[in-house]
Amino acid sequence: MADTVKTEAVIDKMLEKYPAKVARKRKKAIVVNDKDAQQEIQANVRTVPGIITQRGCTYAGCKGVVLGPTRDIVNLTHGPIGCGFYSWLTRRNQTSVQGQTPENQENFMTYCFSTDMQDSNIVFGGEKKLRQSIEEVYELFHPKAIGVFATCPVGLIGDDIHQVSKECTQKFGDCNVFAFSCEGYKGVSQSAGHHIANNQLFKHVIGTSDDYPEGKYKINLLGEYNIGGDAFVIEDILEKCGITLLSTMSGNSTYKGFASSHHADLNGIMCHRSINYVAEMMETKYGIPWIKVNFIGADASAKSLRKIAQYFGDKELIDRVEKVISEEMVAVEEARKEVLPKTEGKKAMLFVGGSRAHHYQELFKELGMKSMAAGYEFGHRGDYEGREVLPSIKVDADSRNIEELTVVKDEEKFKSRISEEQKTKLEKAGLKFRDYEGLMSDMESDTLVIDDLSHFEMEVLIKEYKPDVFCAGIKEKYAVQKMGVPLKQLHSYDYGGPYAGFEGAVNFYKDIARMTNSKIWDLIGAPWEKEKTLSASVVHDTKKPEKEEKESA
Amino acid sequence: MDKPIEKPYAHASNPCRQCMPLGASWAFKGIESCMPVLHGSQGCATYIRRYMISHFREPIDIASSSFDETTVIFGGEANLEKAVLNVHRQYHPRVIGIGTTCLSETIGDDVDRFIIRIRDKYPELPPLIPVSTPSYQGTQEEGFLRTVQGTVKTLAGQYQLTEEAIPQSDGPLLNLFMPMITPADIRWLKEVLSRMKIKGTLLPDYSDTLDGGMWSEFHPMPPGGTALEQIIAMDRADGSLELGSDYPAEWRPGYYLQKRFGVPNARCGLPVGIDSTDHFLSILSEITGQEIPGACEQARSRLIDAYGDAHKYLFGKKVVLFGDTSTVEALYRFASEVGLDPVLCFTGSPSGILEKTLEKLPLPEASANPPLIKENFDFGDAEALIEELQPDLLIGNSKGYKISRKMDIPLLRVGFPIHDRFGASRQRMLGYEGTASLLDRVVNEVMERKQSKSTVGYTYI
Ligand code: SF4
Ligand code: SF4
Repeated sequence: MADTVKTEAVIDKMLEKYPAKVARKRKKAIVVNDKDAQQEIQANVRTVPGIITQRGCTYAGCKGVVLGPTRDIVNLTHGPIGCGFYSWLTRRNQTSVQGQTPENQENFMTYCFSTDMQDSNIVFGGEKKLRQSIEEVYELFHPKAIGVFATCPVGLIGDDIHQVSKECTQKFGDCNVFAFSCEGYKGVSQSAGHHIANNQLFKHVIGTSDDYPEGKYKINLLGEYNIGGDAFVIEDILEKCGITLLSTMSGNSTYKGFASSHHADLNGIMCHRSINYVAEMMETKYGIPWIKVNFIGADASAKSLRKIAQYFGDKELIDRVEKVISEEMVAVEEARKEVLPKTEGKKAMLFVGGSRAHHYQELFKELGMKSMAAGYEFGHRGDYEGREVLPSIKVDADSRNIEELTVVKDEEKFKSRISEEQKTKLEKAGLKFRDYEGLMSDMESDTLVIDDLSHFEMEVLIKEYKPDVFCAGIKEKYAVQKMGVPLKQLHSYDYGGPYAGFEGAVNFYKDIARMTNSKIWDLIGAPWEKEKTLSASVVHDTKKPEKEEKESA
Repeated sequence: MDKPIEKPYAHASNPCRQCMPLGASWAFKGIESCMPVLHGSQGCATYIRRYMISHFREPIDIASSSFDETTVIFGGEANLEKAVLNVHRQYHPRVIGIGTTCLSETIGDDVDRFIIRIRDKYPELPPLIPVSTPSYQGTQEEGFLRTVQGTVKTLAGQYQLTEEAIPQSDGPLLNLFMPMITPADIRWLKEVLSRMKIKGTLLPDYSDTLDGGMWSEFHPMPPGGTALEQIIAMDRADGSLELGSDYPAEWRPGYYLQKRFGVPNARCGLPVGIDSTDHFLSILSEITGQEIPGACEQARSRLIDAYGDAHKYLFGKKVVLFGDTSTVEALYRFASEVGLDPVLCFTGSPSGILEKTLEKLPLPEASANPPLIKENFDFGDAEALIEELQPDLLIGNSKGYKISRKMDIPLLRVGFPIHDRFGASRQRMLGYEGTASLLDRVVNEVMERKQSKSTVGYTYI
């Protein structure tokens, strides 16, 4: 997007329909990237009413993202039926009970439980119905844990869901019941729900079991949700390298894995946005350092494996990791060679999530494609500008809403994994701890970075730039495709994948090559219509006459 | 409505219904250039958009008044005002539909009053249609109906029309209201009206907005839908016809028009199967005085022929039917006609209408016992029953898949939502041709099962 004049014009177009105040606010969320400058972007602020956002609610982030993918926790929504129904098995997190011991084979992910609040519960309170529902669910399955999730009306009618849960835990004896005050309105987006989920996971589950698999190099993977089977691929690679994965939060995850995850010696964070809180708290309480990793992209995967090996510093591991990388890269290179002629020079836009819009740029780089515009749906400034801006971010009313846990060192369970001296040495050698540089430093200058891109702004972008592929979700998919631009769903992978690791990279290359070279879009406009307009217009999308040919009514 | 049907226990597991604002958004999408705004937190709008988009595979925009913590305390008027203005500025819709959510209802927002004040302040705004849709009072079905009725109440006869906007027609003017059916079925209804030379106003008409073609140019709002002027002129129609189950009078738009403006009103179940389609066409002919076209006779005859051919595959096969009330009622009538044995019919709606309606119908030819009819029923409840009944086929929405998979019983997708099969919008069920297409699908499902279970692998079934 070398054409800065055009970029500015496009920004104006995106803003021109807004009332002045809204335009001013939105403008702060749109940045023409300058790689070398420290630029500020507005992020994690409320969407203006009436602006169609792709964001979901706090409840969605809490139930759907962080806890949802855990198969042996029963999730019970406390609220009216819709919220629970719409979050029923709609994310594409996979789980597998294959090869598990019978006690680890429970899978409740295909269920949707709700207290199904009625008029009378809204008027007289829903605690009784909640308690009864928890008891019924317990009787049905005798699960290890039940998570209770509050939706909007609950916060208002004042049900004490935590007290009810506590009493149930005491009554049952063998089932941990804990609740989340994740009413949809509590936060700006899903992100607030992630934080609430992190807190409760940390308070109620992590550190409660000492039953874990032995291994020389024990790690947890945080912020990997096993969309399209990504976590399976990563599990395989780690196993090949001889690295023991205690827990993935939360892809293909189990309650037990969470409970004993404090025995790991390193936390690797994939999605910084959704789970950095747990990593921070685990470091303080148990002494587990964390590093940022990324298994999206073949090169990025190699780099992440090397970082883990570097941390443990064992020659045996370093060699093994190198061996795995070189073996895996054969197929990757081969696939890359094949698709490059079809993808090189093409343009992508990515507007999704809180880390994917960054991670997937790695894959596009490998395809020789340029990411010309990107942004998050629920990212914070740190995810754009890097963690160093965190101290300077003002705490606003919305963030204050979410509890910050006070965490102290657990004298009994704390174990120092690495000496300060060693840490400094590693840092000098390039292994950064507690660090995330954010999306902006990785994007080229003069590209566009936009937070919480609205549906309206998206349509302007598509119209003005006609990218070769647009990456977003199902809500955007059909609007973008109506305009002849293929959309790749990065929340659900269009029900394909996996895209993580080396195997995933190959899948992604092929999918993108297929999508960006499809002939379907060429069929738009019947030949007799094209003939009519050919001479009349030189613009790219020839305008069809007003009336579209529809099935006759 | 009588007292809603209650469950013997507190929780719901794997529900067979969605919430009211989904129905509201769906109905609003059938009005030309209408933007729905859900008054509450943004999550509801996002969830509902995603759910509907996955089914229709079309762009579906729904705005929200995006409550935050302070809105919850001080009320949502300022947010609603902002939302309406911003929607107006960005999209210039001709109508803005406003559905409430559980949250705005719980805090007691008086949306009707807000709207009066907002309109006073900004006279340039298009008509605003408020509907009360807290999901703890009903399901998507009721939300849909309340919205259609709310639209009619707000618009019909309430605005002045210019001379040229007043519908002119040589033929009779008819208002046609329907429950949640597919866009393809709406197109069929339009075709019938046009063949009978009836000038119809179908509400809501989402046959283009939720099943449109490619765009050669950019549209801020998808083209299609019932025009504002047509709805305003509904009080001038020669009659109204309401399709669907026998919903209570207070939910129904045609009933309102009759009471308020004296527009004669009739109702009939969805025209699925010979009997129901016959009935539909005769009523149509009766209210409008138009003749039933000859082509219908041929399609009818072909369908009966197909019934005969299908008989050996279907007779006595046990089916379970589920979904919304109107769909289940229609499927039941169809099943009885083709010789299926509907052993269980259920809906998530607690309204009591399904039971009241089906009970009055004669016992299907293939049934030894009356079917079990369940309302306010979940898939969780259904599981044990289905295990016991051992049906040959399930007919209903995608959410039945869990049971289908567990018990190895084929599931034919009909209704909403369909997220795991392609072409939900193009499914046909209405009229003789639509019924034939449904019949084909049912028979093929049964044949496929027979074939795949055969040890030989016959290609001649
Ligand atoms: S709060 Fe009510 S309106 Fe919103 S999704 Fe939940 S059930 Fe539907
Ligand atoms: S009611 Fe609240 S929790 Fe439920 S979907 Fe809406 S915003 Fe989310």
